[in-house]
Amino acid sequence: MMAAEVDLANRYGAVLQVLGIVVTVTFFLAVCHLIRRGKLNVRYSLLWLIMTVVFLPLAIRKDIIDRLSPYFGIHNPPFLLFLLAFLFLLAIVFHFSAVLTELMARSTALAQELALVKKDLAEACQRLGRADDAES
Amino acid sequence: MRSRDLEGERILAVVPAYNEEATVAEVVRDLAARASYARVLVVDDGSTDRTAEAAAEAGAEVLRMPFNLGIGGAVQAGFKYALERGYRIAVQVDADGQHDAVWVRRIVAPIVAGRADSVVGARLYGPSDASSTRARRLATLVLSRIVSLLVRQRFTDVTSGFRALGPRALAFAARNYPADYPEPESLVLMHRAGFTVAEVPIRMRARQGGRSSIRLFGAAYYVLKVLVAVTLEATKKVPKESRP
Repeated sequence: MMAAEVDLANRYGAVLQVLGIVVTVTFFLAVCHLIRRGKLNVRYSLLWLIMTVVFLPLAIRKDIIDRLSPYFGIHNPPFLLFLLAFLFLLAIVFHFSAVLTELMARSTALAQELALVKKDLAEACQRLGRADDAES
Repeated sequence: MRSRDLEGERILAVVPAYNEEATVAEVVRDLAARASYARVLVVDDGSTDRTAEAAAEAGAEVLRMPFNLGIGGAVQAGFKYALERGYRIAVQVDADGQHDAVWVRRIVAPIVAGRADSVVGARLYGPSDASSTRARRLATLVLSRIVSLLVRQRFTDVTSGFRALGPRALAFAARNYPADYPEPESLVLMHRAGFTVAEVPIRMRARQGGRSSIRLFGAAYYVLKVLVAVTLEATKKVPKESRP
């Protein structure tokens, strides 16, 4: 009875391990691919790449987490994994907030410039039109 | 009305307007009639109604934002326009008709006299004042106390959008203007940059159209948000090159 349960756990553990490795590697390659094709900025995807580099060894050797957790005072090893994932996501979301703020400031400045230039243009066209009328 | 004396000051009235077709033309005509020494620029902040057309028909210059930037971005666009066209003083006037053009003279006076870089028109509350809701008054009171503490100068109406900027403040605001809650925040920013900000009492009319951005249930939340913004503004690094 007990042996069968352990067996089952090991089998699922192996499946999960392979799944973890495949997902991490695929994600890493996908990010690299998108960077090469110019669909992702390196500076906005660096955190993603770091995340895969940190998580890949954890997927390959699941005892790393088991050995590390006591140092953080964590009794249940998976919690360390969740903590790590949570901190990464937090860092990425925070980074995006900063990027968003910068982009908003730039789009505001662009909109203002556009409005000013359009007004200049409209006035210049009006003057040209008047000059044409005066000529003909 | 003596207006000749202000004729040479090159004053631009900046009227930020977002969906104010009902009132903007009247505001423009009021300014043309009773503050004739000023040119009027309506900044149409991405309105979906006929705000821009109404303003142009009433005789104002119109700057059309390609999309809604919010009051801070719209006003700053007006300041940039003023700077580019060589205006010396910019006066911000609301498009909802709350600000009476007769007070423009009083608001620009300290700047013309060289006593202030920027002036805020603070509303006086009479016994039967209809120009504000009770929630707004309370929010204004709380924020004014806090801003007064932060800048160590007494202000009674820091949320007033009726204000004037002299040449140096105008150049500064065209470059640095807060995007979140510009009225109280810009006061703190101006103070941090070393400008002299004065407050003059004026009387406001009840708004003729539109709704206040400060509503009853939102008042406390508004105070909280502005409190955070203003407190951080007070500790923000002010760009060195912009220090007068």
